This record gives sequence, structure tokens and C-alpha cells, in this order.
Amino acid sequence: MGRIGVAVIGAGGENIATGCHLPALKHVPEMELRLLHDVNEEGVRRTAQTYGVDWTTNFEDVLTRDDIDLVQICSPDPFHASQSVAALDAGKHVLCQKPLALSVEELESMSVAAVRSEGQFQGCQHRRYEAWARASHAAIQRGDIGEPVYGRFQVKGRFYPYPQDSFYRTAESGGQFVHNGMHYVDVLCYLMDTLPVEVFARSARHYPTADRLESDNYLSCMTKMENGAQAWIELNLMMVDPPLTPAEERVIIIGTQGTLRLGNEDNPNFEAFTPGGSVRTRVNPLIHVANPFVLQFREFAHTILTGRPNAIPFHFSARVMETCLAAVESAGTGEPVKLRDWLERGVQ
Amino acid sequence: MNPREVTVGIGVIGIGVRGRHAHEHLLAEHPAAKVRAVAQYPNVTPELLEGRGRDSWEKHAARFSVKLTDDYREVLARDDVHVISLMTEPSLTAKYVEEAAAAGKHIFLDKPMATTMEDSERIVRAVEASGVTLMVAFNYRYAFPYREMKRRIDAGEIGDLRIVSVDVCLNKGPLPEFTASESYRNAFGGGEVANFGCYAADLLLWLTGSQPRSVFATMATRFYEDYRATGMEDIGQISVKMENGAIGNILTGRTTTQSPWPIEAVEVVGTRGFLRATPNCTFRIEGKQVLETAYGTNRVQWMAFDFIDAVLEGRPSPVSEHDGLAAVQLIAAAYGSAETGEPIYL
Repeated sequence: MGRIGVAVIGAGGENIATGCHLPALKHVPEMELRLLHDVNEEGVRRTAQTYGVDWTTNFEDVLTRDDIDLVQICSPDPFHASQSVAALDAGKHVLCQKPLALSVEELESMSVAAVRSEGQFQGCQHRRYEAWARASHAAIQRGDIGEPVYGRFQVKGRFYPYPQDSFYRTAESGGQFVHNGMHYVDVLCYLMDTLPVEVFARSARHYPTADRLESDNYLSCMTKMENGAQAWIELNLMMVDPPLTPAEERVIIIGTQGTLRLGNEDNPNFEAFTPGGSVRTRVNPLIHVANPFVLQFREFAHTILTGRPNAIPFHFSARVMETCLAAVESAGTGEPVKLRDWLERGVQ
Repeated sequence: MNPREVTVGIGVIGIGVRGRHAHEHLLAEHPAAKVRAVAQYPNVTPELLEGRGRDSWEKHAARFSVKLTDDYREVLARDDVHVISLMTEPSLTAKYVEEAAAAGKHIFLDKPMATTMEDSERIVRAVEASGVTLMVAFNYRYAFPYREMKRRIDAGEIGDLRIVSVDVCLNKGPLPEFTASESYRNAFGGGEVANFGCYAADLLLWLTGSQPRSVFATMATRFYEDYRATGMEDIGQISVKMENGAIGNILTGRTTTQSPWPIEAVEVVGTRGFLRATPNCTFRIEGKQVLETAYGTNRVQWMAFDFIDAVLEGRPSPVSEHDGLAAVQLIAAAYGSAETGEPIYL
């Protein structure tokens, strides 16, 4: 294989495909954008003109074209699982936007496809490629804070202003923790090098204005991790302010020897307090650094081209996704939910 | 009243247990108060004394220019003692509260109030029967940011209360000279969730002004070998659903972690804004910053003075035996949940 031929699904409007994936692909020399897909013909044609590539409204075209090696799935959430399965079954590699699935059954079907396919699969868990996350990960791997035993990711703000007829406003979407929760859970699991085994969550709702979703907009999710650590993820979108989407994010990792903390409110800081001293940077993690999409795409390209191990194996992403689904389930039933071991299902 | 005139005599029962801290020196800073008698209680769980004995008790008494009283009952019998600064192991507090209350003494009691609900109820009954004033030393309530939060919540400034998140975690552990043991755990009713979690529980209950309905908790031993050997947790998190619908999130423990700031924070989210103290305050209501301040007051001193003032003025206890019982109940539910893996409904 020379360059990896890429098709991007969902490229017909202003969204994560056109806002993040396509711009990032320009900086990924291992990949070549060849085809865009969307059911919105006018939109996808316009995007294709901008990028000078082919377009289609027929997903089958993506599967049958031999020059497409990697399918980047940025379609609306309900299509992620079925399109991933179809692409994997067609022997394609897949990079799928979050959420990977809207149910555990969908995740199951993806795991079966991932096992039988020659294609590699990755979830778009790009937030772990942000500068602060990579710096934190490196510090933890070096042993700067000892063993991480507690992790926390708190998000506060308002929900993204979806159009009134948006799927993401409906209860069927699973709510904002299904749609976005993967990022927060993934970053904690990546930093702490472990996965949740059990989830307990509570949810609530308060919409400060007349504009609202059908689902709860607050979720507090406590987890027990495989290695005995604990974690807490809180997504609070009930706020009048901060008025941004997303708004305030705070991360703390407590280790046996030190603590890492990031806060993007006030002065964005990344701080590490270790027995060897403290490190404090005042770099806004969201600017002045390499694009996290580019970093994930390039790392995935090397896996595809050289057979290097997949940096975000399917079993890892599946557990992260299942954590989000389980959190919503737990908030509904009031009972803790135990998670599956996807590795046992033969999925790497 | 002439503030120079000593009107509140303090008797001390219990020296050098509970991490060797005490409240009598703070109570005695009050211009109307003076320590008049100091005694150790009999049969202290030996591990709690950490090797110290009579010499150190005598030194403690000498700090207040009094001689060590051999029998604590002599302290209770003195007419010039009005307040007992009680610092016994929590598993024994009920007995000493009963005796002190029967002797008509007001009681300043360290947290947690007791190790069981049965003992907590004994304390409530004893205090109610005698009409004395009992205060539990939940000093976090006296930290300026939290008082300010409480005032603004009660004034309705942030609308309906929805979320209260409380971190009370000590860092830079372990506690010097402390070794975990079965005896300690029995005397205190648990590990660090009982020890510090009761502060967090009290803040949650006080700020919400509501009762817990459902409690879920996870706990772990991740920092200390001696804790692990005795099955005593050093970190835990608790999820609480309150009767008024608010959700409570608690992180508590004693970590080894190095950090210049305490892992202490309270965030309260209402329908009109949020109040956060870390412990520096960020209070935002309807999009506007209303207060930002440094964390400055000596909350423990303020608490001690408020108790003496309450006794002098005949005010109800600022943090009563009912508050102490509510915290014991929440922490007991957390232990129950951590043990069974199930939520506990109250």
C-alpha cells in the first residue's frame, strides 16, 4: 500500500467531518482523501469541489471502491455502528466518530465484525491526543506521580445549540453523556492506564432557558476501575454560565506520589506536583499545539501501514463506550452496572 | 457581662487520642472561658495513645496551669466546670456524653460523634433529657467560603439547589507516627471515610438542608500498607440522592500525594448559578461574578468561640447532636454500600 485511500462519511454539512476531519487530513501525508459521502447531495458536492475529490450519496460506493482503504465515519450517531460493520465486512479500516454505538447490542455487532475483519478499527478518541493529555500521560508513564489511584473529569457549561429538529435533542440519542461522554472516560482511562469494571451514575435536569433537550443534562458517574482505582466523570450542562459549549473542564489525577491537574477556567494551567518538584505551564491546551486529529490520524496510519499495534484497540474503545451507556442505564435504574470484558470476546 | 470575668469553666476528658488534637486551648481563648480540670478517661485503646502516657497528660494539664485529675468523674462533679471538652474514642463517646449530660455539663465533642447509629441515638436521648448544649466539631462549617455559600443558598440567590460536590481529602500522608490497626478501626468505626468523610457528609447535609434518601459508595485502600493489612480504606467516593432532589458527590480520604493545595473543594450548583470554593471562592450567579476571596479565617477558632457564645447566650447548639447523628447515618450507609456493592436506601 502506498498512501491510504480515505473516504469520509457525513461530509455534506458544517459538522465534525468538514470542520475537523477534512482540514486535519491535509496534514496527514500517509493518507489521501479520495471520496466523500453524505445523503445531502448538494452539500457533499460542494465539499467535494472544495477538496477536489469524488463524492457519492450511495454508501455502497464507499464499500466497493478498491482505492478506499480507510472509512472515516462522521455520519449522525444512529449510523455509526451499522456503517462500521459494513465497512469492516468490506475489508476496510474504520475510524469511527463517537459515540461508537447507541446500545450494547450495536457494540456487540461491531465487535463481531472487528474480529472477522482484516481491517483495523479505531474510535475517534482524539482528546487523548491533546497536548495536556499527552504531557500528563508521559508524566504518569515516567512514574512522576506514582500509581494513579483516582481520576476525575468534570465538564460544565451548556449543550451545543443543535437545530430544533436535530436527532441529538431526542431521548433516542441517549443524551449528551452517550454523545460526548466517550471523550472524558477515554482520557481518564488513557491517563490511568486502566478501564472501568463497574459504573454507578445519577442524572438530573435543569434547563436555564426555554431551549432544551429531551434528556437529562446532568450526569454524575462514579466508576470502579480494573486495577482498583476509582474515577468520577461529571457532565454538567445545566449551567446559565459559563455560556460556552463546551465550557469549563477540570481534570485531576491523584497518584500515590503526586497529583496532576488541569483547569481551563481562568488561566488555563497544566500542573504536576511530584516529589521531584512541580511543573506549571500556562499553555492553553486548546491552542498553539499540534492538532489532536492529525496526531491520531497519523498514528493510526502507521498501524495500518506497518502493522504496528493499534494504539486504541477495539476492546478499549468498546469498554469506554459501554461505560457511557451503562452510566445512563444506572442513572435510570438507580443500580450499579457491571461491564463486559470485550477482550474475552476475541477482540483485540 | 464583663468579658474579663471567667464565667465558663472547661473540663477536659480525653487527652492525646484522635490524632492527638484537642479543642480546649481554642475554647479557652474565649475571654469568658478557662480550663479548670483535665483528666484522661480510663481504658484508652492503647494503640490510640501511640506510646504516650501519664507524663504527656500531666504536661497537657500544665499547659492550662492545672494538675491532672486522676478520675474523670471528679471533673464531672466540679461545680465550676460548665463545659466538657470531650476527646474520647468515638466508640466510647455515648457513655461519656451520658455521664456528662447527667451531670448537667455542656459538651464540645469531636467528630465523628459515634461509630454506630445506636450510640448516636443514645447521645441524642441523653442531651435531650438533660437540656444541655452539645456541639459536634464540624469546623468546615466555619470556613468563610462555606458559610458564605450557606448564606447565599438559604437566601435563594442560586435558585433551587441541584448539585453539591464536596472534596475533603488530606494529602501528604501518612499521619506521622500513626499505624492502622484493628483496634483503631473499631474505636473510630472505620478508616478515612469515617474520619474525614464525616466532614464532607456534614457539609453536604448542612448546605442542602435536606436528608439523604439513597447512598452509593466505593472505597479502596491504595496508599498505605498498614491500612491494607487491617482492611481499612484510605480513599472513597460517595454518591447521594437527597430528599429535595439534589445530588451529592463526595470524595474523601487521606492520600500520600504531594500538592501545595489541599484536595478540598465544595461546588454548589443551583438553577441560577454556581458557587465554588477550592477553597478560594468563585461565585457566579446569573453569569456574573459575585465574590472572589482568599481563604483566611481560622475556622476552628471561630467554631470554638461560637460554642462558648452559644452556651453563654443560651442559644441552640450551632452543630447539634442531631447533625452529628445525620453524618453518622450517611457514613454508615456509605460503608454499607461499599460492602454490599448496592445502593442503600434510607
